[in-house]
Amino acid sequence: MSWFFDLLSAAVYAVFIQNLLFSGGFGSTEAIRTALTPRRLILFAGFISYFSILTSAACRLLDDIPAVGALGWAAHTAVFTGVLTAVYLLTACALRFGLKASRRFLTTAGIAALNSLVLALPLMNRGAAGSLADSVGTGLGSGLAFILAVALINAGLKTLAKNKHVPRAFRGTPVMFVYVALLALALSGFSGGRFFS
Amino acid sequence: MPSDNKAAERFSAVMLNRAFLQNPVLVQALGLCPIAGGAVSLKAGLVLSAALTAGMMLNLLAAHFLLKRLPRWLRMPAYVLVALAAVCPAGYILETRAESLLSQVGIYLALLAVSSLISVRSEKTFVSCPLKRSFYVAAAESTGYSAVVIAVAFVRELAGSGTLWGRTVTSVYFAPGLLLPFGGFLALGFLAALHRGTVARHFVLRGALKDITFDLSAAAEPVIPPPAPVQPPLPTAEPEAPPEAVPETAAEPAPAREELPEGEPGGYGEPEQEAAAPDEPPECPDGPGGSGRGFKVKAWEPPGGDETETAALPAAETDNAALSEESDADGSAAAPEHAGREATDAAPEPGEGGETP
Repeated sequence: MSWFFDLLSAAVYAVFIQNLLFSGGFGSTEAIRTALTPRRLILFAGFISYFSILTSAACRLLDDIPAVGALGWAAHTAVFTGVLTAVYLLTACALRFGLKASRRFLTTAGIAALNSLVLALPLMNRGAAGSLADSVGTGLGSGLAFILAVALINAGLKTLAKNKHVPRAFRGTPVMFVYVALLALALSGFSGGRFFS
Repeated sequence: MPSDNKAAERFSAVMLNRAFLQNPVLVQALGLCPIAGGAVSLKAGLVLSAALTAGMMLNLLAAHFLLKRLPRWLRMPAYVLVALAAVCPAGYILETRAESLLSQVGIYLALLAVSSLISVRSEKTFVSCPLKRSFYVAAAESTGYSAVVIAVAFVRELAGSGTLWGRTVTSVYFAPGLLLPFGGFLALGFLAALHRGTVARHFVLRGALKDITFDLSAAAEPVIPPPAPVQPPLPTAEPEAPPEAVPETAAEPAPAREELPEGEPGGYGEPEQEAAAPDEPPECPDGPGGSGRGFKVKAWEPPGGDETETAALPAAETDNAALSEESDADGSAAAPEHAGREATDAAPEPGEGGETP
């Protein structure tokens, strides 16, 4: 039972307390672009959670092998990226040849799998010495964090587009960056720290 | 030699276009994660820039010589593995010689392997364009990316730590919070505004309300709009009337290029075209279909918003990772939600269109 609560708390932490996109900037490019066309958001977020869970769990189990656990930074990066690529390839093959998925569906899966949000999780878990439950919970939370971030950015963009008081030079991409910065500042407040001396 | 001059002109035009006008970060919002999180000092910024440039060049070679025949869904992980070949040696060097710097860039160096900038450019340009042209684009976009990374890193190190290149320059640093990703996004926002203002002042022609055109046909020279033709005086009741009597509406005033038309998009978009078929390399925008006279981007219209309140946003449809917008199996193109965002013309650099027979 405690395993389940560890998983749940890790997921909630990844979504709200330390939203992975705003507190780390992971997957921010995809979040911003998806916020412009959120019609495939749920599918995309589902893929992110799926790949995050599998990759994080596999990397966590690999780290338990002494030979892998003793590797340095560069080798760990190579191993974790290789695991992510393998998970994607296995999934893509199953989708392509087993379920006859469309190419578009495969492409969506590829973009969701091969982005910084998914690869960041095993690297972060290793740094934090997280358990298997933490890894799975963070993976689950990553998809929810992505949905939350996209919803916030999308709502903000709609409001900003109607705001006539935005200076001309800031319209569009600049004000979007500033808006994302303020969201990141707000969510970073949960994790404490000093912002201004 | 004339051919050398021509090549140099083309390179400078590509550099101006890809590194500055369509900066991959400030305009296309690509590769944000390492900048937001990792660019916290000049040294870290330099490491990220070097690793990304190396990854881009390796992907250029691999995509051009090896990956063309693979279907897209297999090319995507291949880009990651090739970029990893640049990231891992960089990480190993830091691990053995500068561990403190490695702890600064942290996992953001590793995340360059899945950088959207490398994937998008590999998919949209490197697999389909001639090697020379691809090299120009890779060099230009790496330069544009590096410039932004270093600028952001400079601001954050100075304001967040009070140091430059690791040396204390002031004891009064006021915002250590800038070292968090929020500081990266904030710096990016102000840098993007500066970039947009500069481009608007020097490059954007004042044209139709909703369109902007970058015409780079004069190599790297900014295009100055020609004065509006003076129309002949309208026939009046008295032909002997002096010209001063002509109504003011007879001739359009010459557009002032310093001023942006109201509602101009400013999101300069992505000039390259979408793939014709999902698994085939897209046609190089330098192909015969390109006009070679710049590109034209329509305004982004907010959902349900006023037309005049168009805003510049990253080219989600044209570039959403080169990878996302493609035909379905039945061949029907995916209709973009914001119809105005797609590039309507490809081949941004002068003379490039005519190069292909």
